[in-house]
Amino acid sequence: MPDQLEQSLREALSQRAAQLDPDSIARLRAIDYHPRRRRIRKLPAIGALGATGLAAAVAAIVTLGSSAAPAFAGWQSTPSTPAPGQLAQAAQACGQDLGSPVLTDSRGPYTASIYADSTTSDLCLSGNGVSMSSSSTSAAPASVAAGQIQPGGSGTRDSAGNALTLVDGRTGAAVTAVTIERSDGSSVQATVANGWYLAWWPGTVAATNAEITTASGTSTVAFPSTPALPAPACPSGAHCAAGYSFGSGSGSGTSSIGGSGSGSGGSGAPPAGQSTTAVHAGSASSAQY
Amino acid sequence: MAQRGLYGVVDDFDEFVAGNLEQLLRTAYLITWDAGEAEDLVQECLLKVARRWPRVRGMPQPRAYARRILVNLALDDGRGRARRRGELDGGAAVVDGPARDLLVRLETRAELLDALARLTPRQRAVLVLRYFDDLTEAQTAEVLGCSPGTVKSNASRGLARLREVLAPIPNPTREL
Repeated sequence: MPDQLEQSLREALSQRAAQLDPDSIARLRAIDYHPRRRRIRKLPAIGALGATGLAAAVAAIVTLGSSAAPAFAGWQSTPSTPAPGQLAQAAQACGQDLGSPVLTDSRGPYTASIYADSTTSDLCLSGNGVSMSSSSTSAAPASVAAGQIQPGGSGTRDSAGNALTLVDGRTGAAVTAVTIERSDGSSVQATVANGWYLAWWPGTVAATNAEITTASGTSTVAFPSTPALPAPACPSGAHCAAGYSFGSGSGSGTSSIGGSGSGSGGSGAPPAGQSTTAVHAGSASSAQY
Repeated sequence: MAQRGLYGVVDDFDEFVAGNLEQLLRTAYLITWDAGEAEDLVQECLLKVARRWPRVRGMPQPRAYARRILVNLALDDGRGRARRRGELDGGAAVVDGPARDLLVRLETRAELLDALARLTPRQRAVLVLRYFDDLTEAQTAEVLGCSPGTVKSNASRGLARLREVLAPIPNPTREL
């Protein structure tokens, strides 16, 4: 027979739990907890999707088509000047109605763009017959200290072995250039614009550090190690890719999808106006794929 | 751009959140005794679960895994959370004493809630998991990372603390 105190305790706890403000539940339900996601799809597949097939098709990770060979031919480790019409083609390929990108990164025939508002950023990469898009949502605007960056990114591999790695995030004020140092000793020059940076490369070589340039000098920040995730379940009929994402906050709040604190306000929005494809004087190689 | 899950057509993580968020929040609320803190904890918990979802989704009970993360976050000594609020001093617990005798003196359930509020989060966690989440001693032990025997003794101690708070034994010498 249950102790009367135990029974009263059950009732008291239930009563207390029922006092929880419904707004608390609503606020938590409104948050997107997903880690940063990357989807890769082949361009022709986008136009071929009917309205009814879109939801299922884009949710699957449709891989880079094996016909897109060689993978990422013409990629450059240093941002390049886009060819005439390249940016317009990229905007059309992304198929988005997100306004103007806050950052556009061109590397040979490939164009990567970031579209962002206060809490959501979308990244689109296209060129040479492949396209990739992703979306990342944070609960509050990221706050990045002056002269610093938000280390984060993701990687994706398709079943045919084509892989790419992206690093991107917000920059604090005064950051004029970012160079990504990789685990193989090479480096990739990021594009920096409007408080964002972005670099990507074919393959799975990990980012280890970022060299950050400001008017007063350079500093280095380490990237988090990339997690190894098992391959996800693959929907029937689709090619599936395994992916991962990584961010700067393991357990302390900030992650690749944003801070977890309640209402910090996010006063660290970087200044607008920096719209440069930064060229660093360092030793970025010109690896070609 | 539409938000889509990475790991499948049917985003079962969203379903997991929809089905478990409220209970996790209520558990956090009862352990921390603070709504804002509970929100923070649940948010952090679900972010952690999301990052590990490809592995968690294959577990027999993802909810148990999430609850374990939540409670660990709530009891994390480094967080400086409400654990200091209203902590009782560490005197030895008096486990004996028929509860029904003490309950006679209870005027309202509010007294019990007041007594709960004076427990430490760790003490409350044991009671919340046992008497709100209806976990067995073994399940509670798994969440807290301790033995069932420890859960049993902690639950007894927590109940004893409640009895102490609810019904302090009069000091006869003061009545003279």
